Amino acid sequence: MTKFQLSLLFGFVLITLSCAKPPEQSPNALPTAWYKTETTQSTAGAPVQPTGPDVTPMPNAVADESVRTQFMVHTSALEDLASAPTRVAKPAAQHQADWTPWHMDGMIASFAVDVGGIFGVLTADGTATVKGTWQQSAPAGPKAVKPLKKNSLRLSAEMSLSDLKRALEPSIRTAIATHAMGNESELRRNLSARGSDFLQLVKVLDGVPARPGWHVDSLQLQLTFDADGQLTPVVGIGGQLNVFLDWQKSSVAGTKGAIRTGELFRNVVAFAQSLGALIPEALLDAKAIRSSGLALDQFQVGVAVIEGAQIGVVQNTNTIQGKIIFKRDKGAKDTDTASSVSQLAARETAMSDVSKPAWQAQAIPFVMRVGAPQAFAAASSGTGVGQIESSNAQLTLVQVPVDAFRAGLSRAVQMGSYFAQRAEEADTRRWQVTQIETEFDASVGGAFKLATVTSQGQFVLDFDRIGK
Amino acid sequence: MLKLAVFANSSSVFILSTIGVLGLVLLNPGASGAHAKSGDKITGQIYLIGRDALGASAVQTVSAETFRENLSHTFATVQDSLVPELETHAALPDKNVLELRTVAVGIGLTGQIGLGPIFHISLTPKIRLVFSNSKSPVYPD
Repeated sequence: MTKFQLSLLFGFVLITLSCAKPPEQSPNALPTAWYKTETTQSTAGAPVQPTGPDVTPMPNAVADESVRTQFMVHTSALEDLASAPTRVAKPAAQHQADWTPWHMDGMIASFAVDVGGIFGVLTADGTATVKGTWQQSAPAGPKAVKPLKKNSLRLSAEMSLSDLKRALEPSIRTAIATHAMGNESELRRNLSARGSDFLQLVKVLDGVPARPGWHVDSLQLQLTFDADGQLTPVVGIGGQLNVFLDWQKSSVAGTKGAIRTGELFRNVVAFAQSLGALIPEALLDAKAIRSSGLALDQFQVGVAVIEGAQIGVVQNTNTIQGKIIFKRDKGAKDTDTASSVSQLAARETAMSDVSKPAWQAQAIPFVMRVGAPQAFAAASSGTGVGQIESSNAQLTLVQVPVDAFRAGLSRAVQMGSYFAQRAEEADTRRWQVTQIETEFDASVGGAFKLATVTSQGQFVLDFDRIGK
Repeated sequence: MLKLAVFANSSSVFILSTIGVLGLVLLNPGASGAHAKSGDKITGQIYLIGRDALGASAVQTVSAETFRENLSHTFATVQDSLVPELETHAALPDKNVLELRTVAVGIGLTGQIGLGPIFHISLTPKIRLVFSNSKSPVYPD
């Protein structure tokens, strides 16, 4: 290569570099504030400024059209489907009361948000930001969707650790018998430890007094183990053993095994009741869409306990101790259940059996990994976030101011309502969207962002078709 | 080719998670535009979003109309294959107390996307179809 050619090449490289621009956001992308966390928007240690519900930007016309298309194409494909000819296989007398000929009743589709904000169809690998359920309309109207407890191990507060180990044994033996598990002792140790933690939280949650409005309904935990018996960070993918732990709160106010004393109980009561009070407030703030047919009636939050006494919102799958599911009382309206956290705190103070922790009315605790970017930002910024309360070797507790959390939750409700409404716009007389789940990440700044395909959300808002 | 897993009848609810590979989806970017009502030709594009082997985000586009055609074809194939089998199964003499009521089938449309000479990623939409002989079926999570 001659000097002239080298000069030309060098010049071309310089011109190319000088023309290079940072990648621009696609016009089809959702607003940046919907999916980017503070840690990617600002440098580490910079102040975190919580934003209120009134500043939630809406997608531009192009992005909005793109979101509609993603939903519309699914409804349209269902609409093309002709009914399969069916025959009655049994005499009617042998059928159960709800029997009908076999038919395709519905479809569940998952959608994701790319790290660049593009909303699209989720493929085999990644976190589902939005999950939609379509159902065929019955002549009498849409049917209610009931969640199925898939292959679950149903626990109760009355179980002992020995009971739990006996209940887990068939799953372990199955995994070993199929040669899927190479390290039995490690699997037993890890599964027993996680089961024990889950059971401890069950016993405490069982003692939480019921409140009207939004209440603790259940606790669930899905665990995936690899061939070495180690917990894998990705749920359900590439694992050798999947275990689904499930507890449903009984209508009776606490069973025999319930724990109603101790610091953990007091903190769990405060945590559960603070969130239960914040959800209806966020709904009112966000002026959530109710007339469209889909309404928020379930809210899931990932939690962990540290130092045996502190509960907090947690994101990491390897740390999560369960997802607490809050449900709205049947027939309850937002205006019936909304009450300020300060009012709740006043009521709790009057209770003789519960000593309210000092932080209850001011903050929502988050469990973070020590050294994580968000925890670092929280410790150094001093604005918009609370102080670090306590810490152990790996995890620390960060107090998120309740006002910031409530504002973030309101924005999440707005975003969830947006997807519910767009999905419903694709409804036809025959096929309707009956459920939309939206998954969010929350930061210590109180910001709720849509979980992207590569992240792990810890909040899920469920919009269901109710009351029709 | 459609593949359906064998199911046993020892429970009232079954979930069949199998992938039906139903041909190649032609992946080509379509023009962005207004959506159409069901039954009309849909303009615009569908984004397929997932993660590659290294865990990084991967996005590809396919024409919305192509995606709908493939989806419709898949739905019809699964329904026409599965419903007769379920009815045949239901007609068998009962050997168990529990009756099969709901079946969820995971389906997939697969395609290969070339990203230069080295990387090829496969993107499979996660869709489950729910079949039932109940007026109020229980849906999977």
